[in-house]
Amino acid sequence: MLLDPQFLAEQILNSLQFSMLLFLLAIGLSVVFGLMDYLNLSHGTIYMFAAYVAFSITHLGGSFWIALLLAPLAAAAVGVLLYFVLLKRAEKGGHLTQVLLTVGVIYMGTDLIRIAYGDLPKGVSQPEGLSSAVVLFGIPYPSYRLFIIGLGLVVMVALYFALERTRLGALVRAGVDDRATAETLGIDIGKVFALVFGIGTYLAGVAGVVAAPVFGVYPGMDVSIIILVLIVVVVGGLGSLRGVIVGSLLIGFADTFGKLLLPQFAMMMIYLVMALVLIFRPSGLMPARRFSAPG
Amino acid sequence: MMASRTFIRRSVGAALVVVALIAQAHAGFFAQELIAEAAILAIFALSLDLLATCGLISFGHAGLLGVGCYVFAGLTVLMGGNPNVAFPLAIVAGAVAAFTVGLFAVRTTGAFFIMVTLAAAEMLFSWGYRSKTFGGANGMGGIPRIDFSAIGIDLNSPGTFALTMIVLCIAIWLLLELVVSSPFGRTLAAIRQNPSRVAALGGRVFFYRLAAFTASGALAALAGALKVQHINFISPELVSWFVSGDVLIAVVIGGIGTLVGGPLGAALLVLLKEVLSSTFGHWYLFLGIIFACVALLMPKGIVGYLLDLNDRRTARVAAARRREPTESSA
Repeated sequence: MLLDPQFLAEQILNSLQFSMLLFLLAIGLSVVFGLMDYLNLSHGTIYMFAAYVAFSITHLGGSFWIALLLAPLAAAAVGVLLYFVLLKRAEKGGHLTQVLLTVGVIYMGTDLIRIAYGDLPKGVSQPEGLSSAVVLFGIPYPSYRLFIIGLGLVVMVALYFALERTRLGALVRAGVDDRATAETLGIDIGKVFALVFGIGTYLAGVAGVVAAPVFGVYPGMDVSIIILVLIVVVVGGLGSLRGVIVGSLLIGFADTFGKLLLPQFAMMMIYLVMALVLIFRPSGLMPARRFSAPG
Repeated sequence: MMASRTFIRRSVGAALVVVALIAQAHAGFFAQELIAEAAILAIFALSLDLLATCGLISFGHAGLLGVGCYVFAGLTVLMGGNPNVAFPLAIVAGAVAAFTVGLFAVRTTGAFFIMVTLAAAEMLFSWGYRSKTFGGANGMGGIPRIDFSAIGIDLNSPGTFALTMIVLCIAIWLLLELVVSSPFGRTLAAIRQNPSRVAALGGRVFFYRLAAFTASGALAALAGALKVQHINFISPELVSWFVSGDVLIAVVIGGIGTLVGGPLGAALLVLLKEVLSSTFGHWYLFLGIIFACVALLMPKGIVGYLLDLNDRRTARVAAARRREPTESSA
């Protein structure tokens, strides 16, 4: 089956597309985790929120592109508000307090969505112009999925330059590397963090919008993806862009090919990959902090 | 007049025992089911808190619970075994599973340990979800309860079952109180506070963590074997990460590292879910608000909050005593 090059190409594209979605979601979580040691399980709630905003916009007659422009901004606004009103207060409380608080946010978010939109899944149609298939390597492939792959690559490159070539990127890297020293040097890590949180939730919003036509929009879509995103973050290593890229590719491919080769054990494949990585590299594949003390 | 932390913890435990026994004595049929549910969750919470004594937080404890569930159900329903024999075997299976996973898992700590344990549990979940032998996602019914009729105890009566669960929970709590105050328990606490220092002093951190994880696995499997007896049913839902999350939340609400906090949180969580779900349509909204309030107002949980209050009072009294001599000499 895998020897058929066309079929193989199609599956590789599917894996890439899923990897890109995971990447968009995981990068915010990873940097927040790496920079502030904050375990924010409600990151997926922002993703769900953006998907519903996109549904509302397209439902009211707006185009997909308007949704892609506005919904992530709304997501970032809600994310930053959530951070200042609630999440910030558990910053020094340790992981468990953060888990309790953010699980509380997940419950609240899911029920608020249910109250506003009901329990049934909603669909968002693919944008016009990307609803057809294009022929690639001799196989027809949905152009919308190619668009997701392209978008992910663009964001990757943009983030790489932002982190490696700009002043803000340097501040973020300094904060992840050694927060205490960075603060001693006069960097306001709190401000950097708020900005990073905003960018992270913006990208989670982008992921929510582009995922909506593929997976549909439903209450609980946040919980179904957050575990995978956490796995990406942990496999890649906290706080590093390269780690998130490698992690999302690994998990994206493991998920797609796991379902293909071992349909009985598709979910097991992902967890097996994670377990193996953590046994041999207990801090993930490419952690930002190489000599971090075990927490 | 100054109470020690241990005294406060044990007083909360004693109060909880009294409340549970009074409630059980006056409960109707439905309330007995809730009490049994809370007591089993309490035992499960105790197993998680035992592990937390050495500083490890598991997000996959449902997996170890699930080992107890599946082994007990397999031995009794599928192989026609005697439940009285299956019960101890399920506990042993939990210990063996925890030991095996622990060999790899306890080398990591913090968030990484959380994810490794989650991975192990989710692998069992996905196996259970596909397993035709155990009815897959639909589950399997007809799981018998332990037979104590020889000594005149009928566990099929809801009241008797609930009371037995309370007594068992109390016994396990008292046992763990002994464990945490033993040299073994003190070493676990020392590892939580400073693993490097314990290692420098010659303590074998890895083996202590592995021992704690194994014991915790045995207890979790015990809770699992009780769980399937209580509901007479097994399904992969019992192993899902929501179950791991629930027990973790119970422990955090009660107060992690306090032993009695787990059962307190378990009782509150079961009660809260029951009251909210029968009062409100969208009750998860209110549950979420309560979680957030606990996280922000009592980040160390209820028992942790009480202990902190006591610590502050003790510090005030001590400070006042230090001032006294100078004031009298003036």
